[in-house]
Amino acid sequence: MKVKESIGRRIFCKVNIFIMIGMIVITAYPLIHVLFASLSDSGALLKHRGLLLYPVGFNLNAYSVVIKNPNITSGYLTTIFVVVSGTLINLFMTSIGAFVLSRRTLRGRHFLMAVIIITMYVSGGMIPRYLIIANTLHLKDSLLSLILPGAISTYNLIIMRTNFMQIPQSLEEAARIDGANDISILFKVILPLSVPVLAVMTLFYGVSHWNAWFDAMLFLRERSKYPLQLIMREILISNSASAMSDSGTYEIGESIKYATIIFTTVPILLVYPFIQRYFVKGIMIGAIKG
Amino acid sequence: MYELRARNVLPNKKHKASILKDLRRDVWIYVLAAVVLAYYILFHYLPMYGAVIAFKEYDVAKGIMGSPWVGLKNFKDFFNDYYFVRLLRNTLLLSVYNLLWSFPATILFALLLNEIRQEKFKKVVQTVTYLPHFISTIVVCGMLIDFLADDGLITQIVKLFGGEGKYYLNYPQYFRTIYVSSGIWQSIGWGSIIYLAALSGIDTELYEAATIDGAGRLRQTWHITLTGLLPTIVTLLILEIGKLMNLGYEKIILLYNGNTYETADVISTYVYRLGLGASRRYSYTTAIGLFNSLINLILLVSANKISKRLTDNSLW
Amino acid sequence: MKRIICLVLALCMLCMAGCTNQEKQKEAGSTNQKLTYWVGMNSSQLTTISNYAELPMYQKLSEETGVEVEFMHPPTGQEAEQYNLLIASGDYPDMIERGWSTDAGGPGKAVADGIVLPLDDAIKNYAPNYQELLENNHELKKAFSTDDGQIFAFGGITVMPKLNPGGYFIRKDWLEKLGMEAPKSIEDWEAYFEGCKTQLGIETPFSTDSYRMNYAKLFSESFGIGSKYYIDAAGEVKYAPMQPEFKEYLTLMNSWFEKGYLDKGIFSNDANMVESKILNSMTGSFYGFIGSTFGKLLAAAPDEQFQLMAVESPSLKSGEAAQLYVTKPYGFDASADMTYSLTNTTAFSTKNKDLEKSAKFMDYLYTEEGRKLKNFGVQDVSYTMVGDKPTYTEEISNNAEGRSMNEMIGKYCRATYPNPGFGDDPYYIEQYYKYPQQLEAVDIFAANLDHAVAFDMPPVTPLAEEVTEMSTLQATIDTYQEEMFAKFIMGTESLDNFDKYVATLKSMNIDRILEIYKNAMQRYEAR
Repeated sequence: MKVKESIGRRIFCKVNIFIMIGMIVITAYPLIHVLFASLSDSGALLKHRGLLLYPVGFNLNAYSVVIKNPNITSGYLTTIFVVVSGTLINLFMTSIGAFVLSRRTLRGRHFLMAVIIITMYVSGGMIPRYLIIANTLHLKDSLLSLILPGAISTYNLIIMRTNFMQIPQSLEEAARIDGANDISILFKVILPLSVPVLAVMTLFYGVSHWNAWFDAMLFLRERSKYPLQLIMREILISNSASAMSDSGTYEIGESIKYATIIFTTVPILLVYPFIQRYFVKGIMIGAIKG
Repeated sequence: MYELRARNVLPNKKHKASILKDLRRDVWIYVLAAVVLAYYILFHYLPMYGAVIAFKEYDVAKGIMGSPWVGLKNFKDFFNDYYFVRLLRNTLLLSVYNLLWSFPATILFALLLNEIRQEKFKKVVQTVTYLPHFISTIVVCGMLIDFLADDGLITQIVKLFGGEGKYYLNYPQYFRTIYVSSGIWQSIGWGSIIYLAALSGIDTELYEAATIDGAGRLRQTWHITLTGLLPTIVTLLILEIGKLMNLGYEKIILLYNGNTYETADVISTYVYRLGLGASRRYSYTTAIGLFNSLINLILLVSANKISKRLTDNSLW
Repeated sequence: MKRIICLVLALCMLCMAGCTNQEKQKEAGSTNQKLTYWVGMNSSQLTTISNYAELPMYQKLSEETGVEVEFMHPPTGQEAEQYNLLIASGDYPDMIERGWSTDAGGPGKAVADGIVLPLDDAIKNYAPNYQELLENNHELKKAFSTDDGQIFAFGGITVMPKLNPGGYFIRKDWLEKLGMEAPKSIEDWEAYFEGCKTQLGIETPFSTDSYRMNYAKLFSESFGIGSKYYIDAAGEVKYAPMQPEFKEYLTLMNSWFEKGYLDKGIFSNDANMVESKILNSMTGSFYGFIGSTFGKLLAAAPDEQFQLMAVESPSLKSGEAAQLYVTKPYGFDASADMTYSLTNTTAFSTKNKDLEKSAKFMDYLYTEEGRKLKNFGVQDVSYTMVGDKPTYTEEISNNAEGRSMNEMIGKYCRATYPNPGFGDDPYYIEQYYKYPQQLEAVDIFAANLDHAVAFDMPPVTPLAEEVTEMSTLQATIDTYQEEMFAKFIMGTESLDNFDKYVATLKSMNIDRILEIYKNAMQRYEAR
């Protein structure tokens, strides 16, 4: 049924499209600016005024400095290690947590649920958390301090549980007749049916590990263990880009910051299109039932 | 078959034999539950226990147990702190402004995006606007610091519209605007997903019926769309209110400096600076943290109550 | 399928166990006699090395003393933050090198808190050279001791007391273009700034980085006041930010800020930003150091026209002699053959595993060989002897890749910035300051020392019972003062409110802090 559209409606549609184009520009331009600036000559960049619509004095010097920096390399390695092992542990812990909570026969499951939900709203605070993790649990200066304290995100746990509970009981029963125990039900029946939500969880956890820095700052002592973001903080926020460009070739300074941004954000941007279709699904699972 | 059915009956007969039977049957579930419980005890409840140092004068050498009790002294000290009023004001204002702007902005964006019928274009808008959510706080703040310098990108745009060229992050009067608007930039696309999902769940027949009744687009949006979104909006709003005192301190720590403490210094940054800074006042800052959590909890519970009474939506 | 599950579980367990194992092994390894040494790496070295263990100086030092050391480096620029976290974790390294006297409560607090170990016995038994040095120089011993007379650190010694490495620099060619002489008074500076703005079209006539602005209190020395706590000509402890002169100073800075003489980014700039602005002819004067800033800029001069010179601190009124505050400790004697530097000193923590080895390791720096090692590195690697004079290799003094001397020296030893041992060796200065302009600058800045009427606080310590009170008071006051300082200059707070600001400082009990300092000062004199 084609309803004839009023003039007002047509104007609205046009305006709306312009608004959306505006949104695209506002979101994307800063990133493009960073890209162009990273490819620019520092001196020229410093004197440049106005929008950057192309790299001024195109060169790749900044990148060669960034790549040569030993801190960035070690930061990359640490981050990759934390992202991979951290996300695996996240997935494992969250899956078993969600599985346990989705069992209707578990005694005390309301108690367990309450114990878990409370932590969403109540916490000991920054200082006790620090003292316990660093001193009592002896996780300081260990990469485990970046992995274990956040092994389960309660919010994600609940999304996952909701998802598990939607899986038809009949499938489970069929497996049980074949003699499967609970563990194999989780791994053989439930998880294979939950690939979309697992993909979303991988994305959520992975990205948060990639971007995390605060715990690393609190718990790590040795520079060689620093993740990428902490190195970035040194360069971008603590104002020590000078520390990197002290090499007599002064012109690099400004564009170095931008090159570092590109260098450390690209991996996320590369995987982003591939997982995008999953996360919309995943969020919806959380949204509708959560 | 009988066996299977029995499994699904909730254990309401509480004699010992059935408990044992249950335990044996679900042994793996209990093992897994123990692992999960252990995690929560170690990393959530132990720190909660650690918060008792708020009532003590914590000494690293003596440990949590051994440090002497001081009662409510730390809390009293905080109420008498020179910065008490300012911290409370900054925390609440920054939060409330953030909520007032970014919450409706996200809904509005979702509504507008929902009206786009060119599917390909819609996809592009979505893809691009989700992107900032994945960029790390450090990078976003690094960009802000650079863009807001006296010759930075944003400053130059501000200049075009007759503004002044200065380091905007050094002036307390701009901090809230910068914090809130960059927050919108980061989250508007991502935040809209949840509303788009809810929008797609609204029955299209309702619109058709309304059109036949002669309702205009605006009235349809008001009566059908917003009503359909209401449960989602309320749920998210309660959650947001429950987080009012839990600002994203990471971003503030990265963006603020001595010049902007006046508007930027919030309770959590103060806790960080004093607790893990040179004066190492662990107990005092733990007390401040507890006070903060308490307010949070009160806000959450009351928001939930009010919502239950007004809209019948509630978290529990 | 079951097997796969078991495998996955086993893998997870293994992974966790592996991680913890690794940790354990590490811990076990470190008790295996490798001493840990915590120190912030100097930013000039970040490009050439990633750990001091790579420095030939330390490799040789370990070889000579037979002491193996593992270095721990916090991120540059976050040393203070990281030190506090280190202490919060209660797990101290064996040796800690930092500026102990900047803490509220000073080194005395660190001793009282059970972080730092008094070193008297260790020095007496295992560090004969350092022992002898302190016995012969009472002022040094005073500086590295607490009130109770306990030595707490292996300190830095400057063998050229008259060296004053920091000061103002100006574009010489622009001065000439404007037909001006080197500015001698505040008025002269203003004329230069105005000339830069109106005749040369320079946006920011003066620039510096935020650290300098916040802590060195630029141009305040012309008013004869110090930064924060200082000692005036009469020997009294004063708090600069509440002196009446401070208001005049703020008024001047505020007017310079409003007129655009000062870089708008003085509260945000990093050193690199300032250097780029200078090299790109965007700024006409700055505050910097003879070696690390001036030398670097001279080497990087983009063309013939680009010329820099050092100028002395200006006097308040033209024709008068400058009344200066200098960053030299009270009671220092320019004619003495050495003085102390508190910037970086090494203390032993109470958890030190092996006092003897630690002391031996540090003591070597106070021998003649140690002095050469610290200032020049290893013979035939980074220097050769030309007659009596250790001479840096070509690679350092005239690097083919165009790297600065500052950076190249940092690849071999720790000569270019303060740290334990003898620093500022005359032979080093002579080579490090390789441009004649730099040697001129040494004389110009040294002249400032003669006009000094106010001085830095010596490393005094409050009493144990005062420490908590003092650090609490100081934290509040510092936050407030730093905030107001920027606001007054940027004009977001009117200077009419200066009296109110002083009243607030008083209500925060600044007088109590001054009293504590005064008493501590008396105890210091009595050491």
